[in-house]
Amino acid sequence: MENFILEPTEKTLKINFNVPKGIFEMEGSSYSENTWQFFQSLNVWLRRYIAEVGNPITLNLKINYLNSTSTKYLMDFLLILEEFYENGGKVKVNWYYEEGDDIQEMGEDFAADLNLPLDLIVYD
Amino acid sequence: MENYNLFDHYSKMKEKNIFFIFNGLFSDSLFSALMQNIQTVLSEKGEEPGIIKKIFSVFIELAQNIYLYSAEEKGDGIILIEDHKNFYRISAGNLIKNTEVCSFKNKIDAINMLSKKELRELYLKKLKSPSEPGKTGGNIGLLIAARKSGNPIDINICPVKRDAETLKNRIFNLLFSLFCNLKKTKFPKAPNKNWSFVELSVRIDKNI
Repeated sequence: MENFILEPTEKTLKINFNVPKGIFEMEGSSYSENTWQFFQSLNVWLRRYIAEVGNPITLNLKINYLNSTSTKYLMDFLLILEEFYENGGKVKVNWYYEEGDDIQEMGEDFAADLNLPLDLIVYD
Repeated sequence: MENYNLFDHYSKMKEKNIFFIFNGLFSDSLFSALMQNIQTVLSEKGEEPGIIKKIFSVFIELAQNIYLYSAEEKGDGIILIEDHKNFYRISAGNLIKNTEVCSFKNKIDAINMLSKKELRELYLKKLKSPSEPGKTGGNIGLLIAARKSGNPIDINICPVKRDAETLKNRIFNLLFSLFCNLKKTKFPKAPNKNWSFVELSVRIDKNI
């Protein structure tokens, strides 16, 4: 299975899903109203990875800003990971945030609401 | 017809502490340009990054609300930001159909009744509900605006009665009704042309 890489734009996230390492990275901001297809492609890819590869996943999230639509779609993505985890898959989510940034609150919401090992990590 | 007095407009904006205003068609590509401008202006004012981010967030949700729900023409609306001594206020307005006014007002009233904890619970519940293409479902954007600001969302409704019929439409309708008469079929009911202007305002307190 091939890696999944998308370069960031001002309104869409940088995506770097590395299959051999099992390290998936999402970084940046997403606030386009037309993100359905963007996130759908991630979900389709993730389901394929789980079905065809199924190795442990480390997801590193360095989010700057998500609008409501993108937040909803990120939740959809994390719910797929949760299902994988609940079926015995190995998953670790690292939620990076800058000190004082309210993206920390979003990470805490997700951590409390999902059955996933999710660590909040502060960075400079 | 007299020219619109731009100086009056400008003076009124200054007097009301409005430092940003956009009126017209909202489009997805417009958002990033507007947001960059607002961020630059606020940084230059020396505003804290945390407050700028809150403004960013509320602005985007209100602007995208216009983009998604404006009735007459998709994306037609107005949005502005006031800068007062103790707070910023973001107001956004657009036309919606009169038939939708009640349910919209009820949604806002319901959000305003919720405690901080209840807002969070409803937000997470809505995030987990199934997605539809292009729709977040259940006004997650408004829940985010309420959570970020920590203040109620003010709603103001002004009924606007106007005839949206153009001459071309009238001629078409006339011919169509004649055709219906000839065919002895029922002429379809005219679409509802009654709109209301709905204005939402969200206050963001400064850290003082």
